Amino acid sequence: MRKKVVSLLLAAAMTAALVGCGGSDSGSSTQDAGTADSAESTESSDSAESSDSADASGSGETAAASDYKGTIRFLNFKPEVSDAMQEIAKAYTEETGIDIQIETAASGQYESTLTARMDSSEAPAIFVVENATALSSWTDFCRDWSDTDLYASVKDKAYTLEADGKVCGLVYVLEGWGIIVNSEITDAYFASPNKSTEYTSLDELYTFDALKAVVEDMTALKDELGIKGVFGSTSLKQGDDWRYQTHLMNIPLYWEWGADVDINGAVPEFSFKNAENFKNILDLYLNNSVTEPNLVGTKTVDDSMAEFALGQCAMIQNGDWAWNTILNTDGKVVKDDKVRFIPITSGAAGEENMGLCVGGSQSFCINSQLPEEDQLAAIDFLTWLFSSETGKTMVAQKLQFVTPFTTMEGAEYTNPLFASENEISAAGKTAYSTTCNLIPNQTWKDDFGASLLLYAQGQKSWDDVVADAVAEWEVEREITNSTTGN
Amino acid sequence: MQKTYKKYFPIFVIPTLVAFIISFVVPFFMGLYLSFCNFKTISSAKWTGLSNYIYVFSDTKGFISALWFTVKIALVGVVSTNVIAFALALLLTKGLKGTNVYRTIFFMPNLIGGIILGYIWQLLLNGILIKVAGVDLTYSATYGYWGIIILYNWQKIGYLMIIYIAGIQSISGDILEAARIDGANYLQTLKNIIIPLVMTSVTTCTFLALTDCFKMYDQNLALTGGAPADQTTMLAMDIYNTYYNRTGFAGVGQAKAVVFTVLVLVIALIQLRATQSKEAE
Repeated sequence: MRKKVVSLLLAAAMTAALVGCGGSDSGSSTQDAGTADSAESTESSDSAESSDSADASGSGETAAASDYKGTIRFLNFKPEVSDAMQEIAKAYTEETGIDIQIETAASGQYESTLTARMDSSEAPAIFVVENATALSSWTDFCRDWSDTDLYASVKDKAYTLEADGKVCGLVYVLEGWGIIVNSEITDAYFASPNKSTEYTSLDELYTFDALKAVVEDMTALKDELGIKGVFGSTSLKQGDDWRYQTHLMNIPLYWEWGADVDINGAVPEFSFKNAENFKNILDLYLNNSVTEPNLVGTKTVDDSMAEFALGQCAMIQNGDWAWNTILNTDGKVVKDDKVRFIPITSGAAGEENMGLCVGGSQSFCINSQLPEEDQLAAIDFLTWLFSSETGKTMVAQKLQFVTPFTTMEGAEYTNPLFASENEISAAGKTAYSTTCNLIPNQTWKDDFGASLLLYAQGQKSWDDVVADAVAEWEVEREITNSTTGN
Repeated sequence: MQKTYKKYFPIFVIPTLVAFIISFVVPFFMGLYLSFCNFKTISSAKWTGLSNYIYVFSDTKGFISALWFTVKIALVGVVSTNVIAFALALLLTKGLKGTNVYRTIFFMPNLIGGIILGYIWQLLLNGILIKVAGVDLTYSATYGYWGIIILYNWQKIGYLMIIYIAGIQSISGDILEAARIDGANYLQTLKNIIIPLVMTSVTTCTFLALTDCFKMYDQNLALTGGAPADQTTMLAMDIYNTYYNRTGFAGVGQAKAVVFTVLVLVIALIQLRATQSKEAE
């Protein structure tokens, strides 16, 4: 009997171990679906790769890119382009025979994945830092870009990240965000005989008062317009709240600090002076939405984008990167030429002259800890991507990146939101700079997002939201500034 | 016989021992060292002494509240899973028709990963809550708490049940028969014969459930994600968030992890001693 129990215990322990492994696996699978595949394939090619690099370093020659036998590893930051990135990797491998492994970790997971990979034998050659704060912990891992062709082709040196006297990162994508509008629905509203506002075009919605009047009137007419709500769901589920705790936060931060604040500098003090503006626009989103305010805690960004793509709502706050998601939604009804931007307005003085929020927020860095030939191969790949004909077409039409590289001029874009962005800046509107880069850290963002959710559910007063945001900012500001040396 | 065992001891044990040292002992001591450091990657660690630990215990909002929430989950979770699992085990050792089918069905939830279970139960619970209360799981920590308890019970009961069934089946029929002849009724048999004789299983099961509750991460992440406002964050998730969400806080996260390990170790030892003393030899 004793034996039986012992053998049972053994079996139990084994199963527990199995369950344990399964558990941790599924934990990491919250990243991109492609991750698992690439991780597997990199494992199998690992032994081959390490012997290759040993050979090359043994012969004492610097291998030219075409002779390069290793693997270029790239840790991608943007899940929405992970499929496109795989296509690009394939095209590059076909053209040059060089193997590229692309792994994707979404923004919330990026730092953790990068930290883990940097300590492994599969450290990425190309990695991404989001802003100057994020750069501070990776400065030692960055190769100086300054003697490269790619650096020479950067239009404006504001689009580079410098630290310790070297160029650590090159901004590779300029993104704009605002309110995306399905103009088919708004046109139907403007043409409706039942409307009770005097506005007749989207070009008049450059002040909060105008936007509010139109949105509320549209809500009243939502059955006639065939929509479930004017705005898509306010996705405040934890991890999906970045449209508000980061992107919408850009507006009050801009008005508080002004246009001249150094977005790569130290985290400034913050009093939430323009809290009322933030509340204005957030309330408008919440009260005129597809989803009731007390149910937004389960909504994801994908849910909201699907509502927009399926024509259930007329407007949604998001950026030009969202076009891929809209385009690839099954059963999409929104028409390509009917999608355009209007700016986010919040009732601040002077906002009628403002356009979209535009900025470069992510930079490519080359891992300086790898062997020289790996670094050169990575640079060659990026140069190819942004200057060869194949690469440029793919950047413009697959990745849909607007880049600060002169080599990309003349590339043809297919994203209708870019055209809308250009129209708005051509009309002389000033872009909001990306002041949200100065939010101290993820902890502040997560806590602020959680606060907003409680507010939406009616469980927290707006005054408490503001007070907590300000108090916590001070704590996180000190933590961040002391680690970045500011 | 003993001699032969000794002779072959190295051949059988050394491979496992080496694996154990490489994958467990070494990382554990590295982790212990790192908890006294400020670091980003392991190669760049700088010694900072006790400051990480001081922060862990002075930051009442994060670690302490997560600890309290975890303890509450563990108290209810351990008792409810074990009581229900034992009851099911009693039921399924009575020789009812289709016993094996039931056993299989009850065991199956244990084969599904925690993340998937979390999302499935989130949909189910939200569906009910939205209908009944007009709000979702993120509305109140109480919903999240009971959500985690329900999910955990659903997942673990089948597994513990199998262990209890094995325990009950190993009770010799002679003893039960003797009890019956002596005129003991069912409750008396249960109290004086069955329970004392399955105490080894009780030790195993409570140990598994307790450590499980303390280590719970994926179910917590998928079901509540800590909402609302980190009020349903359990220890493992708090450690993860500390480690990654603030620049320069990896050391504090590591210190939390060490405190966590010591805590689980101590609780598990106390619990083992308490239940083992009741085991019938």
